[in-house]
This record gives sequence, structure tokens and C-alpha cells, in this order.
Amino acid sequence: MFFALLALMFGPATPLNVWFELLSGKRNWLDFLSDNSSVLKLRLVHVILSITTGMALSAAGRAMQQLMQNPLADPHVVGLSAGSTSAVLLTIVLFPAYSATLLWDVFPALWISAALGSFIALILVQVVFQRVVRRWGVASLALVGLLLNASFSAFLMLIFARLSPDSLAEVQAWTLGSIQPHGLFQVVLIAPVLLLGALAFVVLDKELKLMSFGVEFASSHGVNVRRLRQKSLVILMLVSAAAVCAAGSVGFIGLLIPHLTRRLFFRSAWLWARPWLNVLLGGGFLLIADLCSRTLTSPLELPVGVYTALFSAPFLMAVLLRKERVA
Amino acid sequence: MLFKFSRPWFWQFFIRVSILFLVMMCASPSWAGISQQRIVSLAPSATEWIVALGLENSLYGVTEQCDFPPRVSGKSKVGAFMRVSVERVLALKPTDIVAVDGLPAALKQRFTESGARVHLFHAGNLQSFPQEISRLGQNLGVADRANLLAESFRGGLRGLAQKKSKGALRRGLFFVNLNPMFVASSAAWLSELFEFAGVANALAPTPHADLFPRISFEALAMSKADLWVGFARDAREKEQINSSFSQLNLKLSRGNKVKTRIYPADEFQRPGPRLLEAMRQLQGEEF
Repeated sequence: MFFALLALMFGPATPLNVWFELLSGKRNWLDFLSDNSSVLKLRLVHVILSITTGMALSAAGRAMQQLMQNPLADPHVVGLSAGSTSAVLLTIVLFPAYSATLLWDVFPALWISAALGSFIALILVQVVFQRVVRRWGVASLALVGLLLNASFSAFLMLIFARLSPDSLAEVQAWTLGSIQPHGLFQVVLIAPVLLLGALAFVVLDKELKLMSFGVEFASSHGVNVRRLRQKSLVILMLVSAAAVCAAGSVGFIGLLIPHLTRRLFFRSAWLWARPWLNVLLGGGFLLIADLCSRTLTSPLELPVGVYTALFSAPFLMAVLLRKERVA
Repeated sequence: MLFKFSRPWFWQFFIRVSILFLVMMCASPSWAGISQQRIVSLAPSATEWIVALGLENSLYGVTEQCDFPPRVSGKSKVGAFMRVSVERVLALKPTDIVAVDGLPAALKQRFTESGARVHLFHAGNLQSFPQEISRLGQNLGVADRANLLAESFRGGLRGLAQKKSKGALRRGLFFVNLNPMFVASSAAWLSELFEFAGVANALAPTPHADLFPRISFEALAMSKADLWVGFARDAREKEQINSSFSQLNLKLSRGNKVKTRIYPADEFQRPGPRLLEAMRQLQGEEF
């Protein structure tokens, strides 16, 4: 709440702008919502999108780690985000007119590409992982993700070569991860998908936790593994597509937040085992990263993905080094 | 009485708050009731066109790269070229936003929704510049001044074309960057500008989308250019480009060295009104 208020009050524009808006006679909510030139509304969109995206990605990361019994799983690491981003960029390059259109005046057509890209990447991950896991074990997931990410990166390079300079800024915002400049209508469409996705993973967490001890263990405790996998994968696909639509390809959140929760609340097993705590931390983390991206180099807005990587990489490195020392 | 109004600290506090409140009211355009034209420029060349059209007083926001004329650097900054802060732009309550090709569709839509008119200057073809200038001026309400500017631009092009007919056509490469090597393709207006002055682009035609392709050393050797053109921002950069050109000439080890020319970068590379000066400079050149 504190950071959300902070994000509403501070940004590239001076805090005075927000005070003027609050005092400038917009007495009811309808006036406020219909004013598209409002700085406060723009910040509200950023706050809602960053919190919901962070929540959904951290929940997705935790669910993937439990589902695949691998602490390195995350929609970004296994290549789901890269699949979505590649599909979006391919659409921008091949169908520039289509990429700028809105369906029914509110729904950006690019969202369909993002969902399709995520779906294709998920199927690829699933097919490859199922074949590889029998031979190399669950640790091979990171390798599968690495290969998929490398393939998508190479594909992106091919797309860049055909890119017109006009699309460069747009493409950068998608690939590096930036909260997209959506209107309130788009937020109303996308935020519930992200929020419901996070909520669904919180509800499924009990079964997913059993899965993290192995398929046989989960089955012996009455979990319908096949159905749980199907449900989780569909939610994962929707969540990663919606996250790409909201903020481009933001990395590390799904990987960092579950580990961070465990480290921060290591004294209380009850606390770090709560899925909602992980979700709340995820929302807060992306909110702070977005606040940094909007204010630290103002008026230049760096992509939010730069800050998530900047904060996450040293932490994950420290976790690895600590484990090494313990071993 | 619980509270005495005669206390001096109360009146000091009251006067200070009142002054602050009045300053805030006057600073806010919506409160002061100002309904004048408020222009925000999202590109250095757009800023130059706005100033050339005599709208400098209506210009409220520029990008970090907008440095000409030097007095515009004191205006509010709205981010960098291609990386604009939407919040900064909206906070300025613009009535008109001027940008060049490359403004993302989502941003354009966002600005249009805010009630501002978004004007894009298409800097694709040199011959279409006069129409673009007239269109921009008409949209910003200074059609007469824009038509005069467009006419002088046409005059500059005519002057160059007359010069071209006098001499033989040279084959040139126009380097926008030397390490790595990026050159202007034949579809770029920069190449067109030199073609008017009698220097044809030596680079084989590339896909239209790629206006400034990256070329390899092999492509450079294959181009058979007899003139290399570089662009420098200052004396130091000019020296660096000169030394790079000398090294390239040595590597190619041809009998005849390729001729080289270096021009001021901002005047030639920015599709702004200073292109008129660039044209005048080219008219006096012998290639």
C-alpha cells in the first residue's frame, strides 16, 4: 500500500501535477476516468499493471517450480515469454497495419499474437521436456529453457534484420519489458486475467506443493496429476501471454520471488509456505522496479526489465554462492 | 478563547501558505484558464521545424537530444528521442505533439486519446519535404510561414539540380557511423540530397525498410565508390573519421585513394530546416 501510494505520488512529472489534479475540481470518479490527459490516471494504470503482472508472474514461477520439481523453472527461463515476444514482433514486422489496430476499439490485436506465441512455446517446452526428463532428470529443464530461449533469440535477430527504423522503439519496449502505455479499458480487460491467474495458483498451491515431492507422492495423496498438469499449463499460458501484453518480456520475477520469500521468512516455515505472501511480494517487487524505471533516470524512462534484472541477478548469484558454501 | 488570531506565527504561516497556493494556481495551466497552443516536440528535427515556423513561444516540451537552436535546451524535457516519458508529455497538457516517423502506434494512440493533436513529419523522401512542411504548418496554424519555408526548400533543391547537370556523376558512400559501418541506402533522403549535388549512392539497392544498413568490409570493397562521405559533430570526431578513412584506404590498398569529405553531422543528418544550409554548402562544392 505504501509503495502503491508512493508510485501514485512520484513519477517523471512533478508531484505538484498530481496535487493540481486532485484539487482541480474533478469531483466525481466518472470525470476522472474519462480524462485521458490525467497524469494521476496514467500512474494508476502503471500501478495496477505492475502489481497484477508482478503477482501473476511470481505465482506462475512458484507453480512452475513445484509442477516441474525444479527450482529454476519460471515462464521467462523456460522460454514462454520469449515465445510470446517473438510472436508479437513477428506480427509487427509482417503485418504492421494489423499490429496497430484495435479490435472492437479496445482490444489490441497484438494480444492474440502474444497468446498464440505463448501457446506454441508451452507446447514446445512440454513436448521436449517430457522426452528429455526420462533420460536426464528434472534438472534438464534449465537446459531445455536455455535451448528454447536461444532459438527464440536467434529468431528475434532474424526479425530485427527485417525491421524498419519506425518500429524500433516499439520493439524495444516489448523485448526489454516495459509497462505498456495502455488505456483504462485495456487495463480492465487484462488486469483481471492476471489477478485471476495468480488467484488460481494460490488455490491450486496445496496440490502443487504435493507435486513438488514427486508424481508418485502426489498421486498417493489423492492428487489427480494429469488434470492438475492440464489446469496449471492452461493458466500458465494465459498468465504469461497476459503478462507480455501488460509489460512485454519482463524477466526474473517468477524465478526470484519464490526464492526471496524463502530467504526473507526463513525463520517461519508457516509464512514462507503461504502462496499469497509470494504473490504479494511479486506485486510489490515489480511496482518498485517500475517506480525506479520511471523516476531514477527521469525524464528518460528505462525499461522495467532492466531494473528487475539488476535487482534479481545479484540476489540469485548470492543464493547460488551460499548453497555452494553450505555444500 | 482557545485560539488567538493575533499570534504572529499564525499570520506568518498563513501568508506563506497563501503565497504558495497562488504560485501553484498560476503555474497550473488548467487553473489559470490558459487555452493557448501548447506544443511538445518528440524529435530534434521536429523542434527545429517548430522554431523555424516561428512557434518557439508555444513550444513547451522537447527531448533530451533537442539542442538546436541552443535556447530550446531550457525547455521542459519529456524524455529521449524514441524513449519518451508519457507522463511528462501529459503533464505539460499539450494541444499539439509533433513527432517524426518511428513514434510507436500505442504511444500515438495514447496521446490522441488525451486530446492532443499528433502531427507526424515523414522524412522519407527529400522531394516530399516541401509538402510535409506545408502540411505541418497548416496543422499548427502557421500555413503562410510554412509555405514560404517550403518554397525556399524547393529553391534549394532546384539550385542543387542545376549544379548536378553541369558535372559528371560520382559514386559515393555516406557513412552515418564508421565502427561498425552504417551507411545511407539509396532510399534514404541523405543519399537523395547528395544525388541532387551530383554524387550517386554506390551501395547496391537494399530492401526499402532498411534506410541505414550495416555493411561489411567486403561490401565496402565491392561498392567501387570513389567518394566517402562522413559526418562529424565536432573537431575531435572529424579527426577520428579522417583517421578511420585513411585506415580503410590502406586496407583496400587500391592504386588511387578514395576521396573523402566530412560534413557537419547535425546539419546534414537531421531532416530539419538546416538542410537548407547543407544544400547551400553542397552547391559550392566540387566533387
